[in-house]
Amino acid sequence: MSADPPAQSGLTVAGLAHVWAAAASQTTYLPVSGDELEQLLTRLINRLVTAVAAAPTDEQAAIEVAAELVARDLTGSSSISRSLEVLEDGLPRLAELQHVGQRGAAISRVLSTLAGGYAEVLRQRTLDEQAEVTQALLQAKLGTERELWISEARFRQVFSESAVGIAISDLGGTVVTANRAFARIVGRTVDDVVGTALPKLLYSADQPADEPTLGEAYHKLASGELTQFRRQGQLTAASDEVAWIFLAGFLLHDPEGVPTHHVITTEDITELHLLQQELGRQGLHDRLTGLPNEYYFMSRLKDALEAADPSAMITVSRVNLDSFSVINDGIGVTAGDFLLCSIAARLQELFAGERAMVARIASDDFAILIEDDTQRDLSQLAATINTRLSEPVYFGNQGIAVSVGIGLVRRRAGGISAGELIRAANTTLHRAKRVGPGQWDLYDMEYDIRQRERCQLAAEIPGAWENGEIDVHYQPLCRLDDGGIVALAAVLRWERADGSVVGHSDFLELAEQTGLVVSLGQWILEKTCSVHVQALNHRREKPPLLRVDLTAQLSQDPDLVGVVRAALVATGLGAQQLWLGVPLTALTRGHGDVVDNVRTLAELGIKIVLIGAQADHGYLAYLEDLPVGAVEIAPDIVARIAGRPGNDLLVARAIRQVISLVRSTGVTVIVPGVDTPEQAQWWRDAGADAALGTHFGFPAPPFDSH
Amino acid sequence: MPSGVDQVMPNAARVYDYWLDGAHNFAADRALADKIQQVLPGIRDAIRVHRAFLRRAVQFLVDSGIRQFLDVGSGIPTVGNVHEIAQRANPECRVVYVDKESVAVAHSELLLAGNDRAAVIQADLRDVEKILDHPQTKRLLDLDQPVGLLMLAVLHFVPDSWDPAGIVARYRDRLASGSYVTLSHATTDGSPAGLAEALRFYEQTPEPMYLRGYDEVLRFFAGFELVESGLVGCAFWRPSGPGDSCNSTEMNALAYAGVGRKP
Ligand SMILES: C[S@@+](CC[C@H](N)C(=O)[O-])C[C@H]1O[C@@H](n2cnc3c(N)ncnc32)[C@H](O)[C@@H]1O
Repeated sequence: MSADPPAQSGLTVAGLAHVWAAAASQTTYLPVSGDELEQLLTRLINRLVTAVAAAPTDEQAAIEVAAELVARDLTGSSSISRSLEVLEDGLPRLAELQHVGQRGAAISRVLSTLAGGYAEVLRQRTLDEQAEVTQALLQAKLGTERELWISEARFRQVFSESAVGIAISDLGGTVVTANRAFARIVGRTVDDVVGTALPKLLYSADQPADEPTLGEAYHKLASGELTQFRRQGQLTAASDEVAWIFLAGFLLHDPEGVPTHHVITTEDITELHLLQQELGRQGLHDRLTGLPNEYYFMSRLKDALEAADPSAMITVSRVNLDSFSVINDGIGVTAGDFLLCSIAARLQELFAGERAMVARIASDDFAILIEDDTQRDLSQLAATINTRLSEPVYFGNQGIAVSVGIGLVRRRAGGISAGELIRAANTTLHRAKRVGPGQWDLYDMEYDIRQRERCQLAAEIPGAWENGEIDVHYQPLCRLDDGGIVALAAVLRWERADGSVVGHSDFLELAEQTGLVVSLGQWILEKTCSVHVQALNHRREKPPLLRVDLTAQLSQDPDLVGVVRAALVATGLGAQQLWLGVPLTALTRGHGDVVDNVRTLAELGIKIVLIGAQADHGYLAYLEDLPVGAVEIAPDIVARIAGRPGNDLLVARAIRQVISLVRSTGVTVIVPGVDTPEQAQWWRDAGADAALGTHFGFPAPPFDSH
Repeated sequence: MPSGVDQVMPNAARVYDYWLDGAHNFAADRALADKIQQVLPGIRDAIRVHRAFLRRAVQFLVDSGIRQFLDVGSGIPTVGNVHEIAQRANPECRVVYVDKESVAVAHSELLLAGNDRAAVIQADLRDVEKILDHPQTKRLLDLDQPVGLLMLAVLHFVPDSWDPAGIVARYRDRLASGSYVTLSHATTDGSPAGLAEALRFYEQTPEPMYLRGYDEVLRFFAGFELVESGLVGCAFWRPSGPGDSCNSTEMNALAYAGVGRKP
């Protein structure tokens, strides 16, 4: 599958404009009619198309489009993100762009420039509007022709409580009055500020060379060279605190129009600053390390897959730092950032001069794409990366060393998508990390195939069931004291056409994973009951009971009671002859339907067996609240005790205690997987009532079961 | 009682501007707006579709030959002002804005500096004579010719004790035949969840709201003939595109709107 499918659903510029107009007009109020909006957006899309198709891509055009969006009031809080979504989805489908090579990367470059430019322009506009509103406020106070005069006291109150920082200075720049918000921004008290020269209080941290300094700006304002000025960005207060603020300066005139004072207004724009960071994330590069980000990496990977000869080999490697949080939390975030930057630099160095891209795709996650990579020895590659990255980095005089986990995939470019490739690299990385720090792993086709086979197998279940490939066998459940059979436990067995066999628990797990189990439930119950009834008729003995185990999903099926009832009616089996196993996990996950099912089934006379009991006391409450007939110990506990018989295991002591508690309530205790006489003896001593296992009999077809 | 420039107390015009994604607002306005939005999440959409109604109505008036407008309760200049829409449709159009709030007025003055076809007057809408006889009105509007009178989202700040229908009638009586009134008014008729609570926030501000039912709003059109679509939820008045409505019926009709012609 190619990564940028050629116009699978082709789109025209007009069509895209229509979609965009509908999306954008829901995000904010736009003062134009629907038709006008579509015309505008059509024009902008055409500009973007030209920008994408140009080589190199035309970033200036993207910025101009951004400015136009702001000028046309597409400035709702979600306007730009909705617009980017529409464009990201739509541009690659335009017929006009189908001929452009590597269009994925070209589009994302243009769109991320658009996003960044938008934030910048919007900030500028907000600054202007804020300055205007404050100016309006002051003129409302000072205007002599104003009919509604505001008392001096009133103005004082407003002025001092305003959230906008305001300072008024004489024409020499010395502050004559300022409010608390202003003082807070410059990190001083109001008393401190008054009498101080403004340029001493605030200056730009990143003074652009081509703009006058704040001091110069004040002068130009006084001399009439400027009527007003604006600054934004990081302004450094004399306290050395850096604040993200807007600042605007203008002149106040007396009623005769003679300039008397400067007014400086400031507002905290941290919020807007955050917006820009948010948009920056949609850009192409990671701000910290300067590496391409995930978005860029993925579009490059798509382009590479599309452009490559189908037989060319492509390698993707994921590199993840081991215990990065230890460094971040232990030594500090600055050290962590420093480390990430040096790792970025080292990786880039390693692949310099190759057709490769190194990207940072999450906090401590890097990815490397190597195109046309046939010859390289991948174990050598992993070793090189690990060696280079484990050399300590010096932060101050502290050496920090990290190890990394590496997941490597090499595949032919044809027949795999970018998504599949990165996913394969991810699973491989996780497998490596599970082994321990400093490990690498190669994509394991086998493992992947096993996973795929499982899905395949699950897909065959419905057919197998119809073809009668699924059988019921029975395994005896015996009393521990005299070995007499209490019940027969139904065991499913799937013999496939090729002779291979899928056992009971595997089968149920598959069915449960795929959700098939609920529709199989009725069949399982009817089949097990009817086979059992037939077997009983055949044997004409005192009928043993039938035990059928439900899966977690079956236990919470709201139709379970109906299904069980129907099976009993259809087969003529008595409710008293049926034991139903319900997994404890289904109960503890707190599903109300399970509890209801258990109650109703017990009322019918069916005996409920809670299966999978651990050595703790957690489930004892259920025995009090629910009509439970028996409890079966979890197989892993049985296996653990079988490995170390005697009573020195903590688990062994605990389980004995639990057994005596359970039995004191009159509930039967059952043990699965009992395979030797010694095990049987141990459990008998521990007080259990009954057991299953090869010691008492293998699962067998119905007619020779005893 | 004069209402001063009050930056500390939130103010309806600036709250409204914030919802329209304008930046002519202060922290106190944004705080109130956010509180209201929390209990009435659709409010932004409602404001947006109301503003879209304003655009369609002004366009309709220009298309009907109206060249002079009196916008009473005009608010803070924000996205898509009456004079911008009208003068874009026909540069001959003249607009007089009226608001009682001094920041809104000062602000409008800034915006209108250099536009000799538009002006702003600071006045209370009850002072009909003062407004109509104001030098600016006299300069820009010819009351012997039809006028487009706009009273958008303003009468719901007027209590019954002021007799709002009587006020509208006083304007009507001074307007030439062929004039139009364009009026919108928030209502509780759709009773969207959260509206009652939102109104309680307004009660703590200097500008409580008085929402009215359909028949009460209809009465404001006495002596005017409602043009096609009649008095309807503002999103349903001659909609022209997807931006004119939102996906909540209640928000589409949070304000009634209509245009009436003086015979
Ligand atoms: C919600 S805004 C509406 C703005 C604009 N008409 C619109 O629909 O977009 C209401 C405006 O009416 C103004 N206002 C309220 N009561 C008023 C009165 N009695 N006289 C004049 N203006 C008033 C407020 O100051 C505010 O600016």
